[in-house]
Amino acid sequence: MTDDTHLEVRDVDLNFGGLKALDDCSFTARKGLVTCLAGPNGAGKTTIFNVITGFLKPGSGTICFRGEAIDALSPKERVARGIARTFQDLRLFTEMSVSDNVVIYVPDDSGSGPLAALVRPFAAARSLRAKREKAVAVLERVGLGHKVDAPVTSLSYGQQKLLCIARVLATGAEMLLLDEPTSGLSQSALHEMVAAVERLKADGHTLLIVEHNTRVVTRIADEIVFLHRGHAIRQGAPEVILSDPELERIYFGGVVEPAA
Amino acid sequence: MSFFLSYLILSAIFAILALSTNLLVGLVGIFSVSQAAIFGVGAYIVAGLTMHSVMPFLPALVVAMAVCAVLNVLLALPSLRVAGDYFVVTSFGSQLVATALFINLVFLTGGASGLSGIPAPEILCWKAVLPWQIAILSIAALAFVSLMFWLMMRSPFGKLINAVRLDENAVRAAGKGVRSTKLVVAAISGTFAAIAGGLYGVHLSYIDPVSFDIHVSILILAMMVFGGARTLAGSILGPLVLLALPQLLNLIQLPSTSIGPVRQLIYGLLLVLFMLFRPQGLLGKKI
Amino acid sequence: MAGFLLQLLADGLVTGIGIGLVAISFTLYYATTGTFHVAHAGLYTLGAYMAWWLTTMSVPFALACIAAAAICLLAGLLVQVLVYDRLDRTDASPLAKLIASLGVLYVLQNLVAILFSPDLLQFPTAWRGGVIQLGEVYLSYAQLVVAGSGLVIFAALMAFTRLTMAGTRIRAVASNPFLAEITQLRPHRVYLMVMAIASAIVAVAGAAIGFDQAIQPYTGILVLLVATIAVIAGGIGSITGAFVISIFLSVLQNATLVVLPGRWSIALTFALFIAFIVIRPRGLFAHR
Repeated sequence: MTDDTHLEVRDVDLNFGGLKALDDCSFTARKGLVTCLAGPNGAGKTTIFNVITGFLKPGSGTICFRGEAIDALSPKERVARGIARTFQDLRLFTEMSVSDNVVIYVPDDSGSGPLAALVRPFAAARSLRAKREKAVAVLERVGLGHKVDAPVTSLSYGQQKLLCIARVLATGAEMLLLDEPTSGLSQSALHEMVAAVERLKADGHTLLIVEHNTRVVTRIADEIVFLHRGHAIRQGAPEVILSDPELERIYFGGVVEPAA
Repeated sequence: MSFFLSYLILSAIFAILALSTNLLVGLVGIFSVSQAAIFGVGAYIVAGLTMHSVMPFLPALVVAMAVCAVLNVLLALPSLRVAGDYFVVTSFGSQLVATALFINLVFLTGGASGLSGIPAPEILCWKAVLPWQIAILSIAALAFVSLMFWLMMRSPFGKLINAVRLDENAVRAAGKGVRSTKLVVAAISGTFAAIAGGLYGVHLSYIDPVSFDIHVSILILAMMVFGGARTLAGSILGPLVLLALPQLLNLIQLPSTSIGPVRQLIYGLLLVLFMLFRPQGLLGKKI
Repeated sequence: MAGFLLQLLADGLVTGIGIGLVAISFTLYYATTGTFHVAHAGLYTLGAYMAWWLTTMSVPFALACIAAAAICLLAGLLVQVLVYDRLDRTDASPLAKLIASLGVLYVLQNLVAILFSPDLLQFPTAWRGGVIQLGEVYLSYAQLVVAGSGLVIFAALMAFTRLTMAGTRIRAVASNPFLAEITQLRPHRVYLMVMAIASAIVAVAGAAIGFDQAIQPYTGILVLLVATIAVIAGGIGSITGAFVISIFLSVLQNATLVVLPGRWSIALTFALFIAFIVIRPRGLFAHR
């Protein structure tokens, strides 16, 4: 493990009933870089996301962030440490507005708690205002500034996915895990998403992205980790991984991909 | 006592209970049929402390609020610990056990005969003896509870409560505590129920286990469902209408043994029909 | 003293079998559909009153039970179609379904209270009280009815779920509703099936237990509470677990009558349940 390793996944095992979802899975993500998790469906990409962010407990193995093991931390504690994730199925708060969705993800200050709400209402109001300002700023950064007060249900699918990006950005976490950010997107929405991701990288975030679209991967990835049957069989530079005929063979379950 | 004043006082008391249930069931989304049990604990504590001159009304109320907060937190714990509907069982269980305790711990609660002679509340120099004074006290309490409810709804914490109801995992991914949110809401909900309990005792000067059994929990739930969840207006409308119901029923000639069952039948119908056809109640938001 | 204890245990065994019927029917429905069907207690009550009513009209007890089971089967199907299925279609939250189920329970309980009586009623059947003696233990004919019907129905349900095609479908849907939906197992058809079976069984339980003791409109929830504790402790989806734990709980409740007054029984059972969910929440017979 070198100095610029931000995240290290080491020997992680996970069983689901009789199925081995993760099998001695090990890889690293380096600081400030974009690492793409590639691999056929069912290889365990979302599963390892769940383990890294604390939503699933592995049978064995360890996750280290910034050199420290975080296995004992709950999902919310890991966010505070600096790892935030999006969900493949979005999980937006559909009854709330766009800005409220982001406000929930903004870290708390002294006016955000229940006590403040009841006995220091002005501090609570100030906290809400500050959170909303942060939310608006983040929404503008991802290109949703014009939809701040819209209901989530009025957003297109592409915009909803951008909202997911806005949420994790709002947490202030250094390392962002994006689960299939471009899946299901039209050409133009895909362009916007890739642009948003590139802005995240430019801001200095470390990104770990599950991505099927090889053109997107070629464009944004600094490193690729290839997952197969719960095991990281290869990690390296995009040119190397993408030109490997054996990996291509494993991967070909075929995904039709729009140009990036 | 004038009928209208009694109706007003009871409406205020049950509005406070409806708000208590609104927090737990309407806002966070935790199923509960044990509101009456907490209501009862609050009532017995205030009654007991004031009857034996241990402390005056307000401090007794504060003690009751603290106890009921803790109790409600304990009752909410099963809804956190394991997935599934175990908390439904614990909610029913705790309500039924509470009734058994109210009836059987005679030395504490007076048993089935209840506690009578609950003294009028004395707050600083003011003694609320006459019905209109109790009415003012009840409405003031409702105003206080309503303010707390309103402040919470418009705060960042209020938004968090809503988010927890909508998607717990998304909340965890936001770095926020689902468990702590639920427990805090349970605590606040408990304090509201305690306030209602204290008022109920001084209004009637008498309390007994029947006033706090599972049928009362269902009544409170029906009030919240009818008036509507997650709004202040809903929790005030619900009690106003449902407490007027017995009067309306008196207009129909019913055999005396059927009056109670007919009322409960109506509560049951309200619960089903509203969930089917109008889950937001009259003035609320969808459950 | 030993004879007294033995009698208590025997009584507990019989009661436990009766509650076991409530438990196995509940677990069948709950494990398959995921709906915590509290209205099950209402169908239990309805079954008891329908059987009672028919016996007051001189219908033989056995026939009255069968008729009661048929009535409750239909009532259950109505609840499934008019309430639960409808709520599923409107994407109602689990909380909304729970509240609706609670409403149905209250409607059923109070309907029988209004139509018949809110007070205790007893079956007028003449041979109810007859007693047989097994060693030091006395069992009434009514108790034999409870025990007999209970064991037979338990065996039948086990056989049905293990050995028949329909039973296999139920188990498939119960273990993976999502997969069932997309592989055309048509879960909603299966839901109707389990509701029908569960309602018929619980009606018999209500009639039998009511026959042995007495019937009241509001005690269904108490019985269901103990039954659901058995269901959870036995592992949701385990028919054997639910049945065995029901018997265990009842026997235990009765055994403690030696030291603890009867009015604390519910508190004891509940305390055990709390201890259980703290220590071993997944159930003793869990097979999922």
